[in-house]
Amino acid sequence: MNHVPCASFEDIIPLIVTGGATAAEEALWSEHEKTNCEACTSYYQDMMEVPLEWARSTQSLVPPPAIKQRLLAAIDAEAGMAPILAFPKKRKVPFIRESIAWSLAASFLIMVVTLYQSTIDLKINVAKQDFQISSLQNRLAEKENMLASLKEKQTQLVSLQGLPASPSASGRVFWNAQNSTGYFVAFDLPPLPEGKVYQLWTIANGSAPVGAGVFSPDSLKSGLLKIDHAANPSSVQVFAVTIEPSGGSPQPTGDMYLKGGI
Amino acid sequence: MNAGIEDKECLKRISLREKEAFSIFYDRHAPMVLGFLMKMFQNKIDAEEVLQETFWQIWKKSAAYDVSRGSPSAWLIQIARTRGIDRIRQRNKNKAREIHSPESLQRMSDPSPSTVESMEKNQDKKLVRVALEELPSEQRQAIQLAYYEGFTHDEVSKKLNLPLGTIKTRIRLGMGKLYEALKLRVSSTGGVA
Repeated sequence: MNHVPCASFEDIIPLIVTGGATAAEEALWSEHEKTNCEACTSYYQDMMEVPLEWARSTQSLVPPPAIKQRLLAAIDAEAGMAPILAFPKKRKVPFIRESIAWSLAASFLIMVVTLYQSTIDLKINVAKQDFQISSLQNRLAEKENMLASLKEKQTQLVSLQGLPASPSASGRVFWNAQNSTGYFVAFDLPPLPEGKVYQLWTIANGSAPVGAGVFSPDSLKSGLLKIDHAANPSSVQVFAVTIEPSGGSPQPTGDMYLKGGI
Repeated sequence: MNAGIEDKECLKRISLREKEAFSIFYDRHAPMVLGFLMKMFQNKIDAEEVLQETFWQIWKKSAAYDVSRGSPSAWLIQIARTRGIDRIRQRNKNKAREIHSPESLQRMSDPSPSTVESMEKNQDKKLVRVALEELPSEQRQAIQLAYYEGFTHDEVSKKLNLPLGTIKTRIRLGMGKLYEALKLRVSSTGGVA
């Protein structure tokens, strides 16, 4: 280590070793190397030891065994070295990979919950639709029955007149005494007080009135009621409507609003 | 194979595709190279990847080793450094290089306590380390930028807003002092490891 390099290379060699020499300086050195200048070569070799000693002065760290394993595996299968040498992706971008995994898991969970919720909503909707269909079918059947009843020859039309409590009101009963059924329609009945309903009565000769159903007028002051049965239907002579407490009464207790006889 | 074979013999055998020689060379030097790369990157993932690339290059290019260019381990460090700088440059390719922070400048001059402890157990290392620490800060800074961070001297010049000649002088002087420290060590131990 006591060689004295040529003056100009004493300056250039440290630059080459630190990787900062210009292309011209590198070329100059390459040319000089060919002369086998012992002093300069020795100086260069010694200068190369500086970074090495520098590196040695840092704390050594034991590499993970996987690195050597990958290298040896690559040597064993040199042709396929690229994929073998590649670091596992998660080592390169562990955070991104982990984030993607968690995002996918979260997305999957959200999707499952959403699907589950959608399924429940669908079931509720289907149930609602079933109910609506069933209601419509019932209403359709009712109207068909009504039409059939009206078309029957023995069906009678009974008109009811408004009484002093509701002089402008009127009503009609389509009555089939043979099978004890009928339909009642009311018009222009006054709105009901709270807790009250209208009740239709059938009255046979010499008998007490028999309740045939309760109803409330709609927004058009109309009411519709189906009469399913009546005591002594063949003897029914009079239909009347009174105002009664909600749910109806066994016997009339309120004012009479409509009345009509066969 | 004898694990005590010289590095030069190891490289020769590696060039003959002897896997065992490669294994010995790796075991002997990988910890030192990884420590060096950790110093360069301050990042375990980068350091380990470059370590792998470095030794793969050793396997592939060992025949290119020229004894006139220094010892095998010096050559190894040169490869590691070059690969490391390549990675730094690639990473910075699409973004402006950061202005050198005072903190990073102290990476080399302010070693971690564990590093200091390790060095104090090794008097040989301490000589070089002390020489490094005793360098005037402007020389240490110039060497740091050029050697560890891969800036060209021209880039260092612009970064520090100093003439190129001044930068070269600082690097020459700094390296010269480190060289003198190394000579002192060699003369006290009788040879370079």
